[in-house]
Amino acid sequence: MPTFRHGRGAVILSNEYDLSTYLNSVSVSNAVETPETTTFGSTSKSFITGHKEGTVSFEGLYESSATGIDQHLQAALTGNSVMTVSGDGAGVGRRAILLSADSTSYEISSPLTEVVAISGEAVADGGLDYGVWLVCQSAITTTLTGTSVDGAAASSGGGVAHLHITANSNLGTTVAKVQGSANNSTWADLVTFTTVGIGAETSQRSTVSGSIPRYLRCLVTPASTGSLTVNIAFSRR
Amino acid sequence: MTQYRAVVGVDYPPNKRIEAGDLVSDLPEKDVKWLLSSGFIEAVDGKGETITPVVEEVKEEIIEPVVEESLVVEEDGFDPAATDGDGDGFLQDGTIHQRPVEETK
Repeated sequence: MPTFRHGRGAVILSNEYDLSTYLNSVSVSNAVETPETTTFGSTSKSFITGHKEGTVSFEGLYESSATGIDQHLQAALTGNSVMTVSGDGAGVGRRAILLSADSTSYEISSPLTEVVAISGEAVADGGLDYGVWLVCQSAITTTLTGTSVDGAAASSGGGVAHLHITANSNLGTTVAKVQGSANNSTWADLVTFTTVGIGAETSQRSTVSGSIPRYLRCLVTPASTGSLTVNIAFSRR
Repeated sequence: MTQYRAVVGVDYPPNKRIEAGDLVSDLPEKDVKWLLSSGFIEAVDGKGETITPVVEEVKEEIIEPVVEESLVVEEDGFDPAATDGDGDGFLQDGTIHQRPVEETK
């Protein structure tokens, strides 16, 4: 029996913002262009595979506070965003889609009798990467050694990792890592994100080349007291 | 005991950690192979120098092509390697070169 997911568990992170509480619809699309190679004498059309193209579109509710969605989406139009989207939920090991998003549109609509709404679209600069959550929407106050995720086998094509710190009242800096293991016992650092500053809400995207062991986990070490909300996703390539 | 230098940070049981550049000799035996092959650690000698893995040069065996020696039949039809196929004591029966087996030419 397949395990289905309800849409209410979707997670949408963009830079240091958790947009999940503002949005009510998100869709991620991956397509590939297929130029035609049919010539005279052919009885069927033929094609070759070209470039992949990933896009994200979303809809939600307008909010104008200094840390609200309007501020972020306005700013996103002028730059590149670290975006992680999951329709699979927030659990460790759940599927997540990683992209470097270039915002292409942002629309605010104000119907007479309804809530002010927003919608927008972005394209994936460099394509979509399909990975897993190593931690998602987790508020921590001490070192987090994440639950391991079994990738079934090692891989050799490197990978990409996303870090989103969406809330931070910690009084010290924080070091966040992605670690790999061949046997779920000894762990090597695969990605060490740039140290997160005191109280900083931030995001990072980091790529790694070469061998990626079978098991993955995160290791997040805050240096002082106070809470921070951590999200880390990793995709093999 | 072989020493290893961490290329990246490594956590290993029981609750130990080495950072990149640290030398260590107590890594679990079962982990050394995958850590080495993944490039997460490197073996070092007594002086702390990296031991370059010795790769045995595989000498390619040269196989001489086998050339079948073709029978040389002279232009006028004389075959010095003719055999007495029908066992009648003569070679090249019915030709101008017919001759007793014992004769070579």
